[in-house]
Amino acid sequence: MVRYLALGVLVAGLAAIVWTVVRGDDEGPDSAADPSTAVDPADAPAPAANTTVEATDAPEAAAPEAADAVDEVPGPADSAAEATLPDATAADVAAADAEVTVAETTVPPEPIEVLGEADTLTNLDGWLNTDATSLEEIRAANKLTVVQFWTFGCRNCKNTLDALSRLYTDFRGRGVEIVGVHSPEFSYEADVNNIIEASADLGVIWPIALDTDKRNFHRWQPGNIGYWPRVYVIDGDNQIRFDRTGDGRATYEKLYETVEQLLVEA
Amino acid sequence: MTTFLEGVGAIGVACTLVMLVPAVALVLVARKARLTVALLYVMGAALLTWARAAGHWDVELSGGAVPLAAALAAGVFVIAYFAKGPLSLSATGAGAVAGALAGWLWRPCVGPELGEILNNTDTEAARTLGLMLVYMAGALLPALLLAVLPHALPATKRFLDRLPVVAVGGVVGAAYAITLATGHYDDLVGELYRIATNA
Repeated sequence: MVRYLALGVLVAGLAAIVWTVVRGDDEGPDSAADPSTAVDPADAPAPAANTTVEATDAPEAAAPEAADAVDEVPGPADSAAEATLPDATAADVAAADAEVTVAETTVPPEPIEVLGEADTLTNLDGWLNTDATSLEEIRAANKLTVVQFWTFGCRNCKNTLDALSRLYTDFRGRGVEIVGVHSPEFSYEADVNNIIEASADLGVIWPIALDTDKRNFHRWQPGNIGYWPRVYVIDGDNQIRFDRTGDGRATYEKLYETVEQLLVEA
Repeated sequence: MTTFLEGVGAIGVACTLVMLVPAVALVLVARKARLTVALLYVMGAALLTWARAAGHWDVELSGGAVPLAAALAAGVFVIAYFAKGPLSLSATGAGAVAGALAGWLWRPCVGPELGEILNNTDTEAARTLGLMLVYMAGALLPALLLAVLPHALPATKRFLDRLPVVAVGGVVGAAYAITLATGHYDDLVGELYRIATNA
């Protein structure tokens, strides 16, 4: 009996491994690498020849597609209106829709919480893709700064790059800068030539801070934790307004919405 | 199920190998208590990873903690080797401590499901702890399957009990302890991963 149970566990476990390998888990259904959130490389701004990103080279902000997508989803109020008007005339339905629309447009979005004051970046080994030499300099020149701790060898970090590219394309011209703090886990990820090559291959055109010995990685994530990727949004008052771990699609959709909302407030 | 499969998908990732390699080695060494050691390793790793995320364990692996971690790493392999049976204190203790040590060392590359767990440990303690256990069972599945193997296919037990096979586990365990003590464990795993995958 025990043997058959063990055999069942063995077969099921092997099946799970095979299924995961065949499916190709690196772009799972909930990952930010989902193709629906990807940016067409042709739409992304080209990196400057000297790898320095100039603010004036950034494209104008595009219409945020995420907001459109949210608007298209029927909300519970719509459903309720339809459910309570089975015999209503077209005029009644139109009136109900109008009321719903008014209600939707007058409800302000939830305020975005202040999570605490942001730290700075110190003891860096340099910067790539920018002339800036400090986080303060970048913050001073922008309304919002998105700081992501990543490393090029991390599969989950790579999954987020399409979503970050989209964010960069849509908001760069509206005072949003991304800073990728490259904190290597392994020694081959610490070689600056490998970082430059990988960043070019991955299409990372925003400023990269080189945190080779992970001092900032650990200081920003206190309490003996350290996760890749982890993303923060810092507002003009140096306050953290967003802090999430992982490459989830929901996380990066929320990041987009947060940036959009904070820009309205700014 | 998604959480479990995300854990399974993380098996081939270098970040996870940091935790998986000692688990497999420990199962090879624990001849008389493979399943116990594997199960307790999963539980220990899940509990400590969760505790770190929830802020209940914030001891940094630096200073005096480094030789302590290395001594623990070496000790659990010795204890697991001499464990007298699956329900012995030495087997359960070695598995749990080794798992907790792995959870202490682990700095994960975080996918969507693990991200949701880590982001909500402070607000949904019981749920996230359960999900962490499920994730860890997936991430450490090779070690669990290796432990189940002799029970499912008794013919494999003789092979796994052979001294050279046990010695492989012991050598990996020794390398684990030594590289932990010298601060090069992550680098060793990273280099092996890079060579294996031509990254």
